[in-house]
Parts: sequence; structure tokens; C-alpha cells
Amino acid sequence: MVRLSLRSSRPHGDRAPSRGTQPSGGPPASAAPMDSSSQSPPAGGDPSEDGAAAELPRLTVTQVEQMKVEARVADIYRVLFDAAPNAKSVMLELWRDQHVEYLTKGLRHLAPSFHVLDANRPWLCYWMVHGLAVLDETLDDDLENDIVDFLSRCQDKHGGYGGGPGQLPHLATSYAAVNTLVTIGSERALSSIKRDNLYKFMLLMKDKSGAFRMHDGGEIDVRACYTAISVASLVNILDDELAKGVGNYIASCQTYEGGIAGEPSAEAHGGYTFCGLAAMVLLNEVEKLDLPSLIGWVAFRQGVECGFQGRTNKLVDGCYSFWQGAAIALAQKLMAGSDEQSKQSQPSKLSSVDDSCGTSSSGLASEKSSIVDYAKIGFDFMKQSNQIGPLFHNIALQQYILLCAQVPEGGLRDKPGKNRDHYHSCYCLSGLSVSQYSAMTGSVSCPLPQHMLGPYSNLLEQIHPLYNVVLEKYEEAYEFFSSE
Amino acid sequence: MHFVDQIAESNPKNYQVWHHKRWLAEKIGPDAANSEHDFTRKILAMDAKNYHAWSHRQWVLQALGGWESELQYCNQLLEEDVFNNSAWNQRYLVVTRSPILGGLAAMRDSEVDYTVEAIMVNPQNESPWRYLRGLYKDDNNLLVADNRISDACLKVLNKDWTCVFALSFLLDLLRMGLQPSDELKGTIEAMENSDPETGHADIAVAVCSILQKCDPLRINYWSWYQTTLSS
Repeated sequence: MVRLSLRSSRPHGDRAPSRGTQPSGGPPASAAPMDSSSQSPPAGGDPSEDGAAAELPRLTVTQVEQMKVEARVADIYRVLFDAAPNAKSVMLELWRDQHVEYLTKGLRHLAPSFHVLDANRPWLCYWMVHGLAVLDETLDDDLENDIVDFLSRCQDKHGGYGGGPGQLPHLATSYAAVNTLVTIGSERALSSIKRDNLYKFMLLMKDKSGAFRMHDGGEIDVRACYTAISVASLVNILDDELAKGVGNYIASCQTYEGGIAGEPSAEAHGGYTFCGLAAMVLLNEVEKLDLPSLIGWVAFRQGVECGFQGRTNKLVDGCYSFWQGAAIALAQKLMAGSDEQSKQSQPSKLSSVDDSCGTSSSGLASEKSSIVDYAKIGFDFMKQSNQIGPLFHNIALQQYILLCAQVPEGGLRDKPGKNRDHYHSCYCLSGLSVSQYSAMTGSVSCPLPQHMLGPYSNLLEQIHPLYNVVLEKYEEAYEFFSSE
Repeated sequence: MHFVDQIAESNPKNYQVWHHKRWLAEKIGPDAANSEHDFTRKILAMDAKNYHAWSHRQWVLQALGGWESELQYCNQLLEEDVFNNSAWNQRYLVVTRSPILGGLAAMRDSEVDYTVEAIMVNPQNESPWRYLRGLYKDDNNLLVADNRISDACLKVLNKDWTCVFALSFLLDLLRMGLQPSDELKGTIEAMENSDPETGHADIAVAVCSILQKCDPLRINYWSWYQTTLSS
């Protein structure tokens, strides 16, 4: 159990009015002739400051929103802390049956209001199928076949998957479709992926900058890079042509804060940080990032509510349990232990440089070659054990997910007060899994009870943090595609 | 574009509509700069952190111009909400990339003063701490040499010795080679009751163990950080 000082909804005596006044003194002289930048920075209300101020503190929007969330979360945690031991263990249970029902029902039927996701149907498949797989649920054969058939109809005849039958192919929906098919994992599912066409589609999406567009004439960003690289790696079509330049683009998206943005100069963001880091690992170019700076940023995204926020000074959200949790779990795997020869925490560069033939896309047999076996990077990544423990508070994260993100009727949500949805169900569960497996170091082969919050029956299936598919399913797919 | 703006306004988090605006604006050219800035300003007035709006605004600046009033716009937003990290991020873009401001080296001094002042008023605001660090990106020596920085950390700690951002910044400075003043050593000793004869490497370790106590949520992170200190 993690108890941190949260603002509760009960009135606090120590919330003294702050000195919410402007700093005195004239504005400093501006360095820029054309710009009247010369203002003193403003004062937001500082509720924790003691002081006799004449005026009431003016709290900013950020502060107000944050306090509201903290109050709700504090109320939930207080119930837990005050509960008797028996009640506590019930509260910390993962409501598996309810989540399974919510996800399974959604696969067969969604209400009319879901028309807003009509261009995202492979995502809906993935969120539900992956969510169920993480819960270790298998689908009926009929359902599996129907999904495979449906996704096949989303496949464009020239390559890639669109949001629905007849829709333009898009990298994100391709990612969702392929991940779904890998999760289903049958011969039928895996062979339904037209890899040659997928490769051609990706090559068309490649921009001269090295980055990828989401779709024909579409936006370029770190998400597009990740979805392309992840899929290409997973189905073993990643080669130098696809890989070139991507690493430099992603590196240019790391901001002064340490996290990664969607585009160069934009704000550091958890979703893009995961996408950027995972892609760099798959490309074997992590050394282009400032990893300690990235870790430092992600570590500070975990707040008093125990969950993760997506950006500095924004609100906690259950889905970042995966985006931020997996990002920092990836970094953990890359860090050598302190007894290694590296003095500064140098990330260990994975060497999947293959000096045998047969893996090069050009098919040339070379004795001395530095051809990177890209697909093998993903495979080898999980073969090495963690040298160091988790870099975030794994128990606290589990506390947020179990107590604040679960909905009693089934499904998981962003935060208390928000509704459940399939996206949050998928990513809260994925984040929970990452968290449960994060403390396995050395030769430990499965999570120990002390790594987990709640009963051991809460244990989920392990996922592969680079692709976010269940590890077992990934391994089967790896076998399948490396023999193609 | 007017048509698309109406759709964007009611769907401000939709990727496709923003991308379409970008495509259109590119075709229209520099003439679109003002109206695009007006439009993003409107969206940001409703949600000052809308990621798409900020991305679009940045693209317009870099592709079509309009830098003249951007720093003032950042000032305004920070005046309204000094915790708005998107505004601090935008400030970083303006200070480093605006063609009319002279670049980071020229702007750094006044920006340090601005940021330190923001920190003093709200030491619990993470944004200016990160921004301050960003001002010295890739130049650790300059950072360590700027007395205002270590002074600021010290000042904050003297008022609140548990301020995690101050301790963390101090730790980074020590790691980069900051020679702690006697006053700084004294402050840390008061927190830790450590031996007055310790060298600076041990001071870093001392700060790290203080952090493990003051910032229990990040105990795993600080424990790992400590292992990277011993060399």
C-alpha cells in the first residue's frame, strides 16, 4: 500500500492564503528590440505557502483541476486505508470476470453511438482482443474467424489496413490489425497478412525526412514512425530502406524536458515518448537519445495520485500506465547494472548484428556483414533479464489502476469521474501487466507476491513492451514470420 | 479554410482536420499566418494545452512566420497560468528559434532571471525548473558556473528543505561538478547530520539519500540514481 500526502476534500487548516501577488519591481530590460518580453513572471496561487496575504490566492486552471482530481483520489484511498484487512483484499482485487464480459460483449456488439469510431474498427478489435489476452481469456473459434475475416476485408488491395472495409490504408489501423492478428495467433490469422503489399505500402508512406506519414498525404509524426517500425519488425519486413533516417527524426523530437514529442519542438508527451523509445530500440539506435534525461522525465510523470500523467503539470490518466510505464520499463531493460564496467549508465546496445547470411533482405550471402537482423532485436530484447529494478513505483501504479481505474460493472477508465471505454481498458490492463513484471530481475522467472498489489490471482499475462502484444503470442509470431 | 475552421472548432482533438488545415495553409502561404495564429489562439483560449493547436501554431510559425508577438503571447499565457507547461514549451521554441530574438545565447541571461523568479513564487511548479535546465542544454559547464542557479536552489531549500525539484536540480549540479559553497554544505548537513569533512562526491550521495526520504514515490529512481554516482 502506498500512502502519500494528497489533498483531501476535507477542509484543511494549513491551506493558508498565499502571497498571490505579483513580484514587485519593474520589469527587467528586454534583450530583444522588437519584443516587449520584459515582464516579470506571474504568480500562481501557492496554497502550501504560509503567510499573511491581504488578498485571496488566485489559483490557476492547472491548480484547480489538479486539486479536484487529488481530492477524488484521496477519498478513494482513504476508504482503502481505513478498511479492515479482509475488506482491503477485496478492494484490491482485479475484477476479471466483469472486464472479460465487458470486452467480449463489445466484440460482438457495440451501441450506435460507436459510429464515431467507424474509422477505427481495427483499433476496437485490438483494444478488446488484446485486453482479453492479457486477462488470459481465449476467444471462441467462431469469433476468432470472424475477426480474421473482418480484418482481411480492411486490408487494402495495394497493402496496409484501413479503418474499415473500403477505407484508405493507415499506419495506425495497420498496427492495430496486425497486433490483433498476432494476438489471435492462428495459422489462419498470421497468414492472412499480405506482407509484400504491407512493405510496399510502408515504403510509400516513407517521407524524404526519414519519418513516416500515417496515410497517403497524411501527417508525419513519431506515432507514424512507431506504428510502421513495430509492424515491420513484427512481421519481419523491416530493412534498411524502411529504417533509414527514422532514428534521426525521432531523436530530433526529444525535448529539453527529456521526454519525446510528436514532432520536433512540440511538447514532451507520454504517448510519443513510448512510441519514440520503442521505435529506437527496434531500430537499434537508442544511443541517439539522451536516455538518462528521458528516464528522469518519465519518472517525474508519476504523481501523488500514484498513476502517470501524460505531460508535465497535466492530469493523471490510466492509459499512461502503459505509455509511461512501458517506456520506463524499456529504459530499465536497457540499463546495465552498477557492477558492469560502464561508469555512467550507458544503455547496453543490443547486438543483433548477424554475421551469417539468410537474414538480409537482399538475399546475399555475406561472410563478413554488418546487416542488422531487425526482427531479432525484438526477440533478443526479452531474452535478457533486467539488471536493475523498476525505475518507477510499480506498487503505486498498481494501486491507481486497481482502485481508481477499475469500474465495478467491468472495464477500466482514465480516472474517477470518467466513463470506461475499450481504449482505457486495453491500456490500463497493459500497464498493470508491465507493472507486475517490472520487478523481475536476474534469474527470477515470474513475478513474486511482493511485486504485486492484491491477491496473486491478479497476475496478468506478460506482454512484450516493444509491441504491446502478449509475449507468448509474440514468440509464436516470431517463429512463424522468421521461417517465411 | 473558414469551413474547415468551423469543424476544427467543434472537434479540436481530431487529427485529420488539423492536418487538413496545415495542408490548406501551406497552399495559401504566408498570407495565412495571421488568421492561423488567430485561430489557434481561439482554440487555446478554450483549452490552453490542446496538443494539436500547439503543434499547428508551431508549424505556422516555422513555415509561414508571425514570430513578432509570440514571446508576448507566452507571457500572457503564463500570466494566466504559470503552470501551463505547453506555454513554457512554446517559450523554449521562441527563445531558441525565433529569427528576431538572437537565439538562446543572446536570450539566456534574461530568461534565467525570468525563470528563477517564477520558481521563487511557486517552487512546487515543475515547469520552470525543467525550463531552467533546458536553457543550459548541452552546456553543463555554463550551468554549473551560473551562481544564480545554485543560489536559487539554496534559497528554495532554506524555506522548504523538502522541495524535491530543488534537491533534484542540486543533485544534477553536484554531479556535473558544482563545488558546493560552505553555505550549501551547511544546509545539506543540517538536513542530513552528515560529517562536515565530506568531499563533494559524498555530498551528492547525501542529497540522493535525502531525496529517497522526501520523495518516496520515486525511491526506486533515486536508489538507481545513487548507483550511478559511485564511480
